[in-house]
Amino acid sequence: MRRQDPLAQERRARLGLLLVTILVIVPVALIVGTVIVKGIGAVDWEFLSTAPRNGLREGGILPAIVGTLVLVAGAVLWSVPFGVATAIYLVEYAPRSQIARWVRLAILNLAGIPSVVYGLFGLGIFVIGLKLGVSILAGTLTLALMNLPVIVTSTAESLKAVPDRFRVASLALGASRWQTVRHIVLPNSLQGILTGIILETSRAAGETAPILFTVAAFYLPRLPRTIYDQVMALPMHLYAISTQVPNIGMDVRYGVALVLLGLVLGVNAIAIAVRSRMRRNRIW
Amino acid sequence: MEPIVQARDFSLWYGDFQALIDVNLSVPPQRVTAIIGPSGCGKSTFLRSVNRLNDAIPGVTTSGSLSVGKTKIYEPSTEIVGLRREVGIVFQRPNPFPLSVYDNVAFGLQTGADVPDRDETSQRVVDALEEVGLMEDLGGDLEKKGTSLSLEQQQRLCIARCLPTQPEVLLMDEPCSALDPEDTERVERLIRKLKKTVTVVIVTHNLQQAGRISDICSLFHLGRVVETSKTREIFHNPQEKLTRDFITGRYG
Repeated sequence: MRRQDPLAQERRARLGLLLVTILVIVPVALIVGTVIVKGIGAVDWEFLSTAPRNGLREGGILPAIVGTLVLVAGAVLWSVPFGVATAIYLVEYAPRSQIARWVRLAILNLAGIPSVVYGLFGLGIFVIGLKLGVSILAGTLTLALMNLPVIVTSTAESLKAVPDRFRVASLALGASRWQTVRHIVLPNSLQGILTGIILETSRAAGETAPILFTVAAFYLPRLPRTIYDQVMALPMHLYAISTQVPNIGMDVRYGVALVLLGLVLGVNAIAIAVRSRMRRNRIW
Repeated sequence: MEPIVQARDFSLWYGDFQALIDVNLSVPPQRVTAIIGPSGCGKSTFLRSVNRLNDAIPGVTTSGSLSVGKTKIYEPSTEIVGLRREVGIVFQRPNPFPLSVYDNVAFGLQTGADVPDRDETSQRVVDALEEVGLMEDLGGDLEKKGTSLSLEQQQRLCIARCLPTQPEVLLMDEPCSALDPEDTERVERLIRKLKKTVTVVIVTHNLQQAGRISDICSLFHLGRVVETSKTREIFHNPQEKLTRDFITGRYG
């Protein structure tokens, strides 16, 4: 017979799991902390509101902030209608059809493609193939393509979260499939769909590879005027000043990182707020 | 009396499994017809066939005929959307939409081909809520969320929701099984009242309930109809041994 002490094992297990969990938080805190401490000194109103000067060495980052916002907005504009429509068809109309199987396979593959490949694809198809040039149009289309699988998946999950008994009730009252989607399913999944879109937005804001060949400008100290213009973007700008331009103060680099981080975290905070509001209002 | 729902040798398969076998049943208008039987006897399947809710399940096939009024509802020309306005259904678990009470009841009108104007719509909504006694219960507050009502009120809301399109038939799939005895009694009283204007077909597990509210009673067993008769006859003078055994609680 072998004796053991379950209570002592329990204590050790709990302590071990807790320690490992705390270890997960440490790098996040270190990264955010470092960026804030080293970057905060560089961020002032001039930094946020003026264009760079003297080959990026002086001035602010306004064009990059505006560029990133434009790119994100454009990507959402393209990807949301297609992504949401696709998800509605997959979930509400033809969940078991052959076409649904093909689309799911396509989405799975799209999601697995590295972002730099999207960048090359965008260069080949949008910039050169469709002759859009290196432009906001080409860049946002490329970002939208990258966003599409996530938008479709998150929208589909939100639609599936609406209980079937609402659909059955609606159909049983003589409503058509579309009326059921329009009046019952969509209003009850809207917040979930929005959360997915917002989270995807923040991811798009931080991407460098897809915009590298399709829209991003290295040094363009003015704001864009048309969708055929190039723009600067925060992640690209950060890459540029960190590797391509000698003699830039550390604090400027961290300042750019801090602004990007603030933007992304801000967007995520909105998503979290929307989601918790949704949980509170949920009645099923 | 011309039957309003009539099944002639109606069979239904889920893939290879035959759930209904040559069902013959006539439902007279403005009566309450109860379908009783043990679990899995096909009574819910039959009920859901009458407004073609089974269509959503993949692999469902049928043979024979099932008519509502003069329409053979499994003919390819049948408009399912129209049929479901003629034949309402209330489910076991109340399923009001997470909308206001008003919007719940107006839903059928607003999704139809002919949408009545505002006044007509609200008149019919109020009439339906009066009919089920919710107007009084809610003190006229129709902006309340349907899902915030008590379970029994939710079920009466679901009944009211079927009424504005003035259906011929109201199907009820164990409408009281989620309710306590007191609430059950309220809903039963409502069902007895409703039969003045609409034909009710109710599936129930509860024999006493069938005895209390139905005029006609039909016993289903393993997908077949065993016996259909006046409720009094079924309970006091059953013709089939199976019926006798079921009524006396020897099986089921």
